[in-house]
Amino acid sequence: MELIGAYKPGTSPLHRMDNTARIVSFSMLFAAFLIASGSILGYVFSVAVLLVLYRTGSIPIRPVLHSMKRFRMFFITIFLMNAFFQPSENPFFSWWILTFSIDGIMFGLRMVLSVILLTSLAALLTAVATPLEITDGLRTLLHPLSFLHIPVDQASSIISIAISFIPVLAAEGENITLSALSRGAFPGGRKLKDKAMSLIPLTVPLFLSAFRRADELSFAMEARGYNGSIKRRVKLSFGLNEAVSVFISLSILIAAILLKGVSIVGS
Amino acid sequence: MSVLKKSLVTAVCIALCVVLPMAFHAIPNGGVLFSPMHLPVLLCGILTSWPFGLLCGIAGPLLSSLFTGMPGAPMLPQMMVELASYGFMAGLMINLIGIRKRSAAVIISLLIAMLFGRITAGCARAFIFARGSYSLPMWISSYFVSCLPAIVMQLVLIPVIAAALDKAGFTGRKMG
Repeated sequence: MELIGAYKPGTSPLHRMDNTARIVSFSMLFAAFLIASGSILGYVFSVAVLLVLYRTGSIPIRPVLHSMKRFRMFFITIFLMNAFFQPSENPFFSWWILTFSIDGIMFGLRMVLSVILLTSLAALLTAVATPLEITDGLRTLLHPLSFLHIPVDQASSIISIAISFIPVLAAEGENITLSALSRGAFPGGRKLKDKAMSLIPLTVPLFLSAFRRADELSFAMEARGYNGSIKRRVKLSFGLNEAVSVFISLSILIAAILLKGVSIVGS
Repeated sequence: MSVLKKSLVTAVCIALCVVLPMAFHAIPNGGVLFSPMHLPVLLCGILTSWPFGLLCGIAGPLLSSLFTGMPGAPMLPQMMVELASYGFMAGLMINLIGIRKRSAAVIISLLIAMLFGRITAGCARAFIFARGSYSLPMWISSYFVSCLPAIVMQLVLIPVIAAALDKAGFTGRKMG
């Protein structure tokens, strides 16, 4: 099963950044993209920033955009839901709960564009940082919450274990699918009900197999005396690279806010 | 169930939040119709308790978005609110409901959690994420009409899986 933005080792500035600074920078970029969306100028700005970021991280953008093709049905659904259910004062036609209007079409297009842009940015983050580095950055950022007795360490451990389970369960899912196919378990009918029923031979064994793995792992961890009470150290190495990255991200965020202001004044 | 086991069940459910949608996307529009991410979150709440269900509801869509790009970043916050509500309420209700028959408790918890999650997500969209551009017909169509197959599948599959796990002695409970 193909994953969008799988980690690609490298030595680019984005790869070498501190985990926490990387999360902070990308959070500001996400915010900037969200704020800039809505106007043509904002989308041009976001695309330009995205291209520069992919270039800086030495990551090709074409495979990421290509892998989004498989979500075309999802994009069409988002577009149609917004096109037909968006309230408007000047609709082309209106019947029961359906309202088809130019406002709805534009809103649907904006939603699809925003999804593609933000997904590409998320794919860049996962391409320049391993999942464990991302978790580590999040744990450091959330560390102050542990003073409020929120179990940040335990939560981050759970997320780390979940990340290590993903490839195992993905392979297990493929095995179950292949074995079910060899037994002719998927009827492959054209009706929606048949398609839904065909997923049961995949879903139930996958759940049971996943819980069996959790059971075995809990026995193994308890046998080794693990009780989750050991706290990990918070690591933060903030150098020139990190300072420059955070400054650039902050500048992009401010530019996006200014662009939004310009587009509001212009309209 | 020990805290460690609950943690690992949560970890597995979070991983399933990433893996299951990949399988369901093989069906055209399968992700929207069957809402595969709801299954592990609701099950996590029912098998563990509300803090773990809440964590699963927050971390599941976040990791899925990072790994597979779905849900897309603009949909992510509202999906996190919805799934966190499911996990939280399923975990809370299963411990609050004083019915001795476990299968009935599971179904009642599921129904309450599913309704609570939909109301919370609708309020979040109406007042925060899509302020001014969200309406009651949109809420009904997106949370009840378009995902009716998902509601039916969740109400059938989750009690079956919970019963199978109880029977296998995984949860330390007996299905009534």
